[in-house]
Parts: sequence; structure tokens; C-alpha cells
Amino acid sequence: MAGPLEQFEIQPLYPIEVAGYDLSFTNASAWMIFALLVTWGFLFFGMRKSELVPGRWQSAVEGLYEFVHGMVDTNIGPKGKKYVPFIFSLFIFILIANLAGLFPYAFTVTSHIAVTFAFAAFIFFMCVLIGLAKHGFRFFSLFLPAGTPWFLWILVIPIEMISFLSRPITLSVRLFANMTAGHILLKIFIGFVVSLGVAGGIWSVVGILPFAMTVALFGLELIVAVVQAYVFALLTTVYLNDSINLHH
Amino acid sequence: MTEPRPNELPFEARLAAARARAEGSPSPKQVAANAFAQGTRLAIELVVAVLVGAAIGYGLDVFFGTSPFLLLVMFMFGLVAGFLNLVRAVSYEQAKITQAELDALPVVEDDDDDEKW
Repeated sequence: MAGPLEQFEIQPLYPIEVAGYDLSFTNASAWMIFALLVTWGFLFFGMRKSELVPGRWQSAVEGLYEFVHGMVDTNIGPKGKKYVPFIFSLFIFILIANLAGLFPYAFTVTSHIAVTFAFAAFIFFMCVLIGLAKHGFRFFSLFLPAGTPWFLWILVIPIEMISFLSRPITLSVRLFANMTAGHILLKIFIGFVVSLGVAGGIWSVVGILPFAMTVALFGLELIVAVVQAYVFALLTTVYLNDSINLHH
Repeated sequence: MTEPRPNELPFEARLAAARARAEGSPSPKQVAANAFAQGTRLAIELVVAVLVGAAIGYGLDVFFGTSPFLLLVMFMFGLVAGFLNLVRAVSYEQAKITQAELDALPVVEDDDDDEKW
């Protein structure tokens, strides 16, 4: 019986080494490409005919797009239109990576902080650069809420800076922690089912309890996978809004 | 025949009935998952801000050689920033307009074919 943490191991599938760096094609890379292919297939085959009266598949694609479009519209407003493709890509990639990870023998890409922090750091630098490009040095007024009396500046500025710097970390840790914790929990309960089943006799009957728990947890994990992808995209729009519209 | 066949009802009535059937109240599992997501979000907001503050303080201490004073000061700032994050996250959730409130708004006829943007 494999331990609950073995599912997160990175295994090189095709070793590549460039100038002393290990750039192997790993199971994580493979599942990222898988998520990319599923996304591509979903969008391509959904919109291939692109009829005026959409069929089921086309409706699903359009509904998802409208959902992201609405989210950006409510959080950023008219200036956010050009960021819809970015938020949409982010949302659908994380959603499919989360959901694909729930299949047995699958690897959950988003259960690695290296992956989620790469996203969050990219979003953070993007927010800073967009803010600086749009507002110049006035962007730093983000650290000083309007109407702060001068004698509070020395307190408010460090607090706001820490609050701002903690954004990429909260964004990445939330997704990574949710996915990792859920998968560990699932694996532990599935482990109970197997070991109780092997024990035989009355213990095999008791094994129904962790099995029922696994089924319930799996449903919960499905919701968590969707909600976390949504929260990640939502907070990205909230952070982008601060850079674009520059007011709290 | 005492009651009209479904197809004889006006379209709006059938649509409203179908909407009511489809929406219903969210399942307990959905409520639990949302509450869980909300809870982890708030917990992480608080903890991470404290850690970032402490990390900045430690870095400044190493740079200026003032250990451990800046660490302590920035730790406190981090704590305050964490609570600020908490307040912002909660008030953001509360500021959301619910669908019921939107439905209560008066409906204005759309008089042009322009897109929203």
C-alpha cells in the first residue's frame, strides 16, 4: 500500500539535462500538457461549427466564457475587457488541472507550490508593471489610503506594503494547500478501505464506513476543485482591479 | 381535462417554473465546501501576512545588524496587516450583491443593440 504522500512525487519520464540543470520531462509536465490538450479540445470542438443557435457543447463553451466575462466585468469594469483572455486561460487551466487530478493514478499539477507560486508571482509582477505603466509613480499611492493623517503614515505604509507583498503568497498557498490536503485525505481513507478489506471477517464489513467516507469526500473534492479555480481567477481580477483603477 | 397541458401555459410561466425547479436551495455539501473555502482563505490571509512581516523584519535585521528589534517591530506590523487583510476579505464578501437584491431592482427596457462594452 502506497503512502499518502507518494502521489505527489515528481518522476522524470524523459530525462533531459541542459548545462548541468535537470530539465527532464516529468509526470508534472505530462499532466500540464494533458490539461492544455483537454482545454484545446473542449474549445476547438465546441466552437468548430459555431452555429447561431448553439448546440450543447457550444453552449458549454459560451457559458464558461460568459461566466469569466461577467466576473471580469463586475470586478474591473469596462477597462478590464482586454484581460478577459488571460483570466479565462488561467481559470480553465487550473480548473482542468484540478479536475484531472481527481482521477485515480492521475497527478495533480496544482498540488505543487512550485506551480501555483509561479502563477501567483507572474500575476504579482504583472499587476505591478501594469500599475506602473498606467499610473507611473502614483501607483505607490496604493500603499496610502486616501485621507490618512500625516502622523499615521509611518504606521500605515509598512502595513499596506506587507498586505500587498502577502498577496502572491496567499494566492499560491491557498490553491496548493487545498489540493494537497484533499488528496492526502482521500488517499488515507482509501488506505483504510484496503487494509480493512484485507483483514477479513468482521473487519471487511467495517470497511464500508471509510468507503462511504471516500465517496462523500470525493464529492467534496469535486466542489473544492471548482471553487478553488474560481477563487484563484476571482482574486486575480480583484488584484488587477487595484492596478488598473487604483482606488480601494 | 381539468388543468391545462404544460404547453398551453404562457412561455414566461413555464420558464419561471423551470428556473425555480433548477435553482432550489444549495445542497448541504455545497454550503460546506463554500464555507471551507472561505475559512481556509481567511486563515491563510492572516498567517501569511504575519510571516511576510516577520521575514521582512529578519531580512532588515541581517542587513542592518539590529537583531532582533526590527524582526519584532515588523512582526507586529505583519499582524496588523493580517487583520487588515481579514477585514478586507470579509467586507468584500459582504459587499457582494445577492441575486435576490438584483431581481428586486426595477427592469429598464434595453433600447439599443450595443454590447455592454
